[in-house]
Amino acid sequence: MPSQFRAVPLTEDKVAQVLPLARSLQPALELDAWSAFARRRIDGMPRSGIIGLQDQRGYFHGLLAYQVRDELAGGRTLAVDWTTSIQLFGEADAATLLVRELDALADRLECAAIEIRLKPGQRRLRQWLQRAGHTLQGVVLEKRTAAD
Amino acid sequence: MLASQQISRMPSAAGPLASRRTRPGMPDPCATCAVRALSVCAALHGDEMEGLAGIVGQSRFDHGATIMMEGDPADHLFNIIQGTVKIYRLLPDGRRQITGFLGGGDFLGMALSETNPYSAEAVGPVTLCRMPRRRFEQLAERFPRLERRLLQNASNELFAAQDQMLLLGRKSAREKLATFLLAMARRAAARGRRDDAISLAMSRADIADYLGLTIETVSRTFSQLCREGSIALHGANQVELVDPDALESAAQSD
Repeated sequence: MPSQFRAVPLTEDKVAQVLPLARSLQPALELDAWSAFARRRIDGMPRSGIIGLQDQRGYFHGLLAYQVRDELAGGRTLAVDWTTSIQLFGEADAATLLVRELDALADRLECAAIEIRLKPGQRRLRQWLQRAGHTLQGVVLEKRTAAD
Repeated sequence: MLASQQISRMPSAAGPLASRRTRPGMPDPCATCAVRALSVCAALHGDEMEGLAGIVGQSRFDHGATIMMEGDPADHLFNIIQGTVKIYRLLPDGRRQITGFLGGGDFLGMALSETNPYSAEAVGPVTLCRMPRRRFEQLAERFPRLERRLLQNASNELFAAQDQMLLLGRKSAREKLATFLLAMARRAAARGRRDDAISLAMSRADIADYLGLTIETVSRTFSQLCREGSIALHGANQVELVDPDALESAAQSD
């Protein structure tokens, strides 16, 4: 059955539209900060970018921001450091497409591995990824500094 | 400014605030609720409805009263029974961006995080059903129909927010105001009211904040749409959509 969503590279004219979706992961996010982040990723294409999951009416249901990194241990790695997919109708469809898009992206960019950072609350997305073969390889520790 | 606003609360007819419960032999206020068909409660029947009635309290807010504050713990959910509520975020430079107007049947306070993602303020007198978030979530786990309806609500809220971002990015005030008036007309129609005569509860300043315009520009644009024959104003807040097709054209582009 064809997906009700399609994965599209986020373009500059859609950056503002997806801000509400980005805020579902980071509620205090402001337009200026989001635009600056998104433009850096879009400008760095194809080694970095943002993929959006869009429905037939043009609304976005999920986002993932990626960049290619050369890791000493893992070689060329697709690092996905910012993912949001809201739990809606068609969640399974969106999650399946997101997982498939990650594989296709890694293939296109000739990456040997995919590394994804998730927020502690993204349990359902983590379950979807683990079902698709992604395994827990470590934890990320973070401490905010005085410069924050 | 916000700190000085008073919140008034009124016990519901069936009991004190936050403790209205359905008891045998007592009338169920939810059964006669005018907006039930429009709200998340429409998904519930019988025992489910009784479960919800058991956690609901009714609150009344005067014009200008703060219902919830951005950044505060998201520990309550609200269902608007009557009146208009504006939701907004404070920008880093202190300005306020109104992100939406909600009315009867709309759900308020859905938060994906533990804190309120926006503030909400009454525009005119507002009556709400107020539910503790944790208990409401427990109900949603028990009643899949309620959970589905909530997800649908969350989707619609997200889509409305995306629409507003698109609206703000549009080029002209005329296009923005025409889009806003058409959306208000569609909203009235969805609630069984006339779609060719809308009553705007919000001030020109609120409309300006919502559309990212100045008050003067909003007033000028109202006048322009009147001159063009798309709308007619009857008093400050009654808008007649004289030529909806022309308004649609104005909403598309200049």
